[in-house]
Amino acid sequence: MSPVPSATAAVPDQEDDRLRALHALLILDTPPEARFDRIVAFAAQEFDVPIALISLIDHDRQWFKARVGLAVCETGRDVSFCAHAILQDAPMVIDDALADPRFAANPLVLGEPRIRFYAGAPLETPEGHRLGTLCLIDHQPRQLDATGLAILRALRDLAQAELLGPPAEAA
Amino acid sequence: MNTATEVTAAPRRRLLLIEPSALFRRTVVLVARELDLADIDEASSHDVAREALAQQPYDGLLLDLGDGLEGMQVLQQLRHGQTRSPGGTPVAVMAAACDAATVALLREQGVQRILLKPFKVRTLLEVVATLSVATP
Repeated sequence: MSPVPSATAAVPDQEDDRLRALHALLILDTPPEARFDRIVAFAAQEFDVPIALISLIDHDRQWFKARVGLAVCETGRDVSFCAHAILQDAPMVIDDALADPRFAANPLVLGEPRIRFYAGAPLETPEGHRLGTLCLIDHQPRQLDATGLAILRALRDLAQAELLGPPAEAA
Repeated sequence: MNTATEVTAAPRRRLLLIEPSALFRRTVVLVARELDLADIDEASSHDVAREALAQQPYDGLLLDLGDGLEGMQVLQQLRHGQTRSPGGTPVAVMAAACDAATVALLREQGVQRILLKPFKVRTLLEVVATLSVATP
């Protein structure tokens, strides 16, 4: 069997409703906000990863509401790891993208930002629409243990609360 | 079906975390709950901590020392039996800086751990696990 060049994520069920929920937040293409920047900076430091993002999956792109370690503010959805991550409830963890047939030929793996490790926890509305992720990226393969997963989920919960609710107490 | 574990399981320890950073505080509380390490109440300041300590006993304190060592007053109140917790309640102190004199003072007060900031959530969770099994 020949390897899959680079698998594009499936489209979630109820994609139109999901996009409506995302657009209703009026958050796409808005300026950076400290309440989200704080969370990705905290995540990058906690996990010792060079890149941490709050990524939102739009119709044909992923747009970053907050980012550490990445210069661009968006990439195509067709190459997005986060577009895969929003297809499941649990965080998606890719220990080594080069060893995963879905991502081994992905341009974000073979080129900049040279993703090897990825962990993304979905940001979900109360209606169950997964709008994006809080994700961690490393240039080296690595693993996430149960404590790491719990910390990622906790930070995701805090990012989700900021995304869906009124601004909370400052850190 | 009831298992022996369910019947004999000890009640989970209740700790008080005094820490000004909301993000750090919330993360520790959420993860400790998820990993079943402890129930942690939060205090964003030493004043809030004093109120909490007056309301109910705790099995351990995770205490930010504060810029002006405000945490020391809370610690001394605890040790002098001026709270609802036992005087020997286990305490871990978190500090941005800690000179030798302060370390000596904290030792005198029976502090179990001193954590110099910045440190990771994971590190404090390890301390939470330790304090959670300590017997006052």
